[in-house]
Amino acid sequence: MKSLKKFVQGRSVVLLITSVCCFSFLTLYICIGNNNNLITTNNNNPPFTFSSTAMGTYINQTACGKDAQTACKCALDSIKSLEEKLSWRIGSSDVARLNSSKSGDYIQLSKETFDVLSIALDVAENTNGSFEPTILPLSNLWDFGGINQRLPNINEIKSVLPYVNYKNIAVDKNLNRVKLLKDNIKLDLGGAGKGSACEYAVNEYKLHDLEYGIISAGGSIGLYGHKKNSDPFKIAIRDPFSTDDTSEFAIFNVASGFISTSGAYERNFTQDNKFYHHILCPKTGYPVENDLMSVTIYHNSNGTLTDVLSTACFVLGKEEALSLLDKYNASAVFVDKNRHVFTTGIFKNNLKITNKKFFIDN
Amino acid sequence: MITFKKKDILILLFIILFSTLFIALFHLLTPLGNIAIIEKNGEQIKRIDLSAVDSPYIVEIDAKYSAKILVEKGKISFYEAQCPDKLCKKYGKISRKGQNAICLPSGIIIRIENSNDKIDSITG
Repeated sequence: MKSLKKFVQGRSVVLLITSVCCFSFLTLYICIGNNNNLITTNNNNPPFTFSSTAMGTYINQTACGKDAQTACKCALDSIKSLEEKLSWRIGSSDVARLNSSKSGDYIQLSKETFDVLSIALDVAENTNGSFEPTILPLSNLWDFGGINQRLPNINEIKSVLPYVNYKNIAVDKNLNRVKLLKDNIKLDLGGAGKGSACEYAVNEYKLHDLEYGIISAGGSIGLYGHKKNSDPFKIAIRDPFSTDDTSEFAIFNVASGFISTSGAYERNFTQDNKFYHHILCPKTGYPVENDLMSVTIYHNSNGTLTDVLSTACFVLGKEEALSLLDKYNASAVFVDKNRHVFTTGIFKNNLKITNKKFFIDN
Repeated sequence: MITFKKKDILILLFIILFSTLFIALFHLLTPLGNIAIIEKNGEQIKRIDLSAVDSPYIVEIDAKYSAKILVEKGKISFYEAQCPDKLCKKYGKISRKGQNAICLPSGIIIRIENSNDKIDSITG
């Protein structure tokens, strides 16, 4: 050990220790430099998040701004009051009153209900009834997601189909009133409600002058304002093949506006090896059978429209949906059963696939 | 016969202490990850934002040997596994970027990522 002793006493040990120290500090410095948690400064205003239920679904809000908390609560209140007007399940709602009215009698509607119904009827007209606000007798028969969910027999379906026709609704635009032209016509505006809810929430964010606000109501999204550094919002689209509702297949950037998705995965059941999902074709009375798995719609200002169009485009199928999208100035993402993804409008060159099993096929 | 002098031991201790400290520091300074990705047979089946976990919960993954995965705020671990070797549980709770926990027999992999691509919302 003589050499070691000599070594220890020598100058080289000082050199060794110094170099070890230098090396360590250098590495440490690089580590800290790479560590985002240590060098980034926190944003001044942490976002406020607020989860609740309404319209039979989860409502999640994220808001940033001085009045974020109040804005979210007001948004929830206005969604609940919208539900009380739109839901056919609530006896005092506009829709329930209309559904129980005698044919020929005008029913006075609130402006909110009237606006939603107008959009639904407009899309019904432009799709020749592929979207049907009068679907309730049929959807009640199947009762997807309800306690009476079952496969109806063909006679039952045939017996309700004559009542599924939007042409039996007559609208008086000047007085916000509506009458049914036939008995047993029953409306269901559920296909527009969540998109509409997003619009009401965004309106509250605007009123409370938030920096930004994000509302998600059962798969429909409303976006308001700007994030820090004017970064766009990053929105994911759910993987329609996964049973996990947090699993996505793609993300896209968007500045503001509304998004809705309709998919075969939402409410469904399998009987005798046949898969039945909740998007019904108003003409056949059976779930839509085409190659689509999901349709996502974007519109810059109309949330109700995105919700209605997502269902309408799913029923129509990709080819026929394209002209409809053009007409309403909306953009779409179609996902088919082979995981081929087709994009239009704002989604083109913007949608980023995150699940390698999917690919863009424009 | 090698004999150590006091000074020899001192310098050895110094080196050991320093390297231990250094490794610990290196580990501590690896950024925490915010996203846990669960893969089954190479396919991503779940993506969990660990920073958004309020209270711990268990995710059950149905595989050749099914496994229960414990998700906590900022960390994730194999909690119960049906696999024969139970090696996956030995990974413990992982929380840092680049760490992973693997259950080979069942084909389940948990990875931690640090994503700045934090999603604002999901539609569907």
